[in-house]
Amino acid sequence: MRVNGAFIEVDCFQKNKGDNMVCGDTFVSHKFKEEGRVISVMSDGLGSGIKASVLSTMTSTMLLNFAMMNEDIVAAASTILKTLPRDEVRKISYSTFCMCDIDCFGNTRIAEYETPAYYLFREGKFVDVPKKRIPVERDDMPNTALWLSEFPMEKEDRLIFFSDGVSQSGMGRRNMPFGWENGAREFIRECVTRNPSVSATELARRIVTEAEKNDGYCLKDDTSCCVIYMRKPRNLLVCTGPPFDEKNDANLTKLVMEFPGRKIICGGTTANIVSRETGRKITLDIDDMDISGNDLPPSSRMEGIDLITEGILTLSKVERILSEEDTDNHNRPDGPAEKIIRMLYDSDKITFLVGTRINIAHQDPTLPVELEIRRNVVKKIKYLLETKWLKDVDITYI
Amino acid sequence: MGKIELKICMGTMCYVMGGAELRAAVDSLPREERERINVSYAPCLGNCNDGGEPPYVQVNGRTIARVSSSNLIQILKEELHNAL
Repeated sequence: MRVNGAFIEVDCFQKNKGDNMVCGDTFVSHKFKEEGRVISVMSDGLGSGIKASVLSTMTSTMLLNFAMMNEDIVAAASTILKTLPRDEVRKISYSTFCMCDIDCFGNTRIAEYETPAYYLFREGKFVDVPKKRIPVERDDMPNTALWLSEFPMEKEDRLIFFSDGVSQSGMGRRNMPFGWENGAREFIRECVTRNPSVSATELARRIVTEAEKNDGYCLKDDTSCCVIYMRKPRNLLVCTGPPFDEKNDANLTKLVMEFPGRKIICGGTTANIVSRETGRKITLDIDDMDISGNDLPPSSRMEGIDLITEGILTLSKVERILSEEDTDNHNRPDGPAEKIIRMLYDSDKITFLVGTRINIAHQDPTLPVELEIRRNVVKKIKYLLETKWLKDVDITYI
Repeated sequence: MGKIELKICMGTMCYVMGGAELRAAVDSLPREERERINVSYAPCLGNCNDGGEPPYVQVNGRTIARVSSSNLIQILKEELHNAL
């Protein structure tokens, strides 16, 4: 996703009301790689629990599906608004939503319905974007309207939108009788001033955690925050496997050492090649073997490389974690696969440099574990990173 | 009394074929014997690229194939005895 070389980082962090097992807010996002377009939708279902979750899931996924079929977001949002069921007691619709569509040039369109107003944070200040009211006819709910904003996103801009769990957190407390709405602005400003490159993931997490604190660590509503950050891409190289032709060993080392970003090497042979070509020593972190739940060979260190791990077993575990997880889990152990996962999550543009030499020893059918072919595992990881985590991923074979 | 240099391979094949348990085997030795062994680890000793018989270790620079916990202890005890 490029706008003047920038990357659009999108992430959402959610916490459930009280002890609820599900969140009544839903966030969905889709990246169109070929078009360089990102669509994100957040919906808040009326009430909380399963019913709210079903309502918000239906609203957000239908909006996303309309938009994916190239329906204009105003038309999509109006259609949904006309069909949303109405709560007979409260006389309000069953869900609210905010939908954001950013194209490859950074042109942004946001349609809001009854959610707290989003924030656009640019160069240390909040920018007030003019909004257009678009009435939607509904006999049972007069004065129903969408709010549409259109503006170009610029490099280093942040868009922050959240459910009322954030803006109404702390409501009734002496220092915030009407909730956290103004305090949230100050909090965001402070977070970004303190750490100007704070990621979308981290900022969303901090906002929700602060809202939880406002509610005395027992949230009174489902709380979600989505941050879209147009940032300079954070590059990561994952080099795995020796080159098909040994003559390319020097070339592989050069590509790794000259890569502008963080570097991971997965595979003992590959690490040995880089160590031999650069004359740098590899040191194993044997403490990794003491981490409970770690079933992988330990990671290693080398000057100039951020992480060295074993190859195929570790990558297979990375693939398994990526396919099982839907949100960034901060409580996972600190084994080699988890270290890779953390670095993948903290990167925007990920390049896999895959050596194509087949390790004959891995092809023995009597082996006690399934050792997959490296290229297949990397392809699965690429697919998961692109679809679930909206990363830019490239694979280069050597 | 001389010290023994033991290098355990942590490559994929060696790890899968039992290399992961060798560290515990070395640690199970009596303290006075354990203190005479310098244990280090290698990301891959590069022995099983053409078939091979993992797991591998190096004892004082000598490569030994198909090592199990029990025969590693035996090998180490012999080396310790020879180094006295």
